[in-house]
Amino acid sequence: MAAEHARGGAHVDVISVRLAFGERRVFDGLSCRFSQSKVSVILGASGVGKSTLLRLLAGLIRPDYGDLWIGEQEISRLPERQLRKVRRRLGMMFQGGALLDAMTVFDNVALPLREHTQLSEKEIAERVHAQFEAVGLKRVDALLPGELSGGMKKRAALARAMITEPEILLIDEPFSGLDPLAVRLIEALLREVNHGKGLTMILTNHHIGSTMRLADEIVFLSDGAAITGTVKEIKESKDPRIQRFLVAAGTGPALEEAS
Amino acid sequence: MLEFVREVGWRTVDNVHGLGGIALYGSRLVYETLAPPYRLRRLLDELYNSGVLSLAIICTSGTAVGFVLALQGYNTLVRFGAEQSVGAVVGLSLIRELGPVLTALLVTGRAGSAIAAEIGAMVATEQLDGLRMMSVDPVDYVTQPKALGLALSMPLLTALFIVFGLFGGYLVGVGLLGVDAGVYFSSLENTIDFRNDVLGSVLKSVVFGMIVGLISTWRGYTAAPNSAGVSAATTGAVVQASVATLMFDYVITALWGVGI
Repeated sequence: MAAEHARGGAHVDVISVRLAFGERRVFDGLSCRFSQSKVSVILGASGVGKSTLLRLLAGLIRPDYGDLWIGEQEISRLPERQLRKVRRRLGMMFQGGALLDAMTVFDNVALPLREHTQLSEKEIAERVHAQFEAVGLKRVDALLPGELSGGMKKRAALARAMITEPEILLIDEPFSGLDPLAVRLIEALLREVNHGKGLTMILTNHHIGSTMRLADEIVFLSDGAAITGTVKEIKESKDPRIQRFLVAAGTGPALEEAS
Repeated sequence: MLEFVREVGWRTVDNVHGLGGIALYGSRLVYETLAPPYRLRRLLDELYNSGVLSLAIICTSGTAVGFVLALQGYNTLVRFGAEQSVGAVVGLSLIRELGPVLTALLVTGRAGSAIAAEIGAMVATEQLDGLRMMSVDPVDYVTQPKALGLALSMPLLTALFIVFGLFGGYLVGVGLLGVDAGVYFSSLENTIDFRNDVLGSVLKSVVFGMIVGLISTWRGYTAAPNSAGVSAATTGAVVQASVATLMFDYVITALWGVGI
């Protein structure tokens, strides 16, 4: 259906994707790829479709046209039942956490294990507590998500996304609404997870400082198209759209020269 | 004129599309009810939320309706010298009509609206998407136990409404207006027919339970992911479930009355 495209070992591949919500066209032939075991950051101005791209990769919305590959599986036209199998290889941390607010934090993180494994409650408790420790959460078992701070909620969401040891972690705006200290903490945590488990991580972010520190590769979205490169390549890019964005964010070459 | 025809056409297509959507959703609810896994714990939670938490409003309303029925019935019957039949009037009115219908309307207002608002809020805060990302079907995990819990609660709450209504009628008829207690119950016993009245009442309450459960969960599940969407889902659930209840009440009464 979509144009022929050499996949070249990419873990996640977006090929000629078109998507419109009513009259508003979000993507018009978007193609980009995300490498295995790398931290890829989707960067771009507000409303450019960063979260939408993440939701496409998660199969939560479907493109009007084009292919979406997760490993060797094309998912854009899979029925929901088969998508559920693909999603077992994915973890997703939503911007607001998306924790079930009627359940305790422990039950939230234990839920995927209770649903998809035959583990005993004791084994589940061990796995959940190990995950809490990995993300730096203590004494939160009996708390409801509404009783957590913003940073703790993000960490609980990360624990839930990682509890089933996915191959690919999709993370929507992990730093929004956090103070600088919490940003550094989450950043270190994500880097540790990426290094420790070799996960493919795809983040959306408009926080330019953390992007530059964290990213192995950047997918810059603008006008429904993507420009991909390493941090260095993006910083040194002569593309006026990237330059405008970086200057506005205070990290572009023009600003560095001026300072 | 052309604009009017176009508008009518679009609305018709929209309504047919909506009906198709709710029909498909209803069939998924039936499938999830019959197919494993059976979520007994979640069903018990929902029985508590829809059933136990509605007890106070059902008992109070049932008693109040019994009071009014006895009073109105007595005032009418006394003109014909038939005031001893007040028990039959209260019982027939409650069992055949008011018990199932008023219970359905009260449960829609209390539990149906809460269900639509809760599921709508889960949509708005991406909780249902969070479940999808854990490979958990939100219909199976969230909406089916709520719909089934409400459907199972309805006949029990209806029975309770009727019992408290009869008790209210007794208090006013016997305690206040001086009808003989034995006559109150014997007129009730002699008038009520098991098949026509009691089974008809059970059938209505079961159908109303399914309607309210289906519409409340559907409106929440398809809510727009914002606060206005949650509000519209809640209002829509109450209005549509109430109107559907009254319409189906006529259909069942008509069909049951002719012996189908």
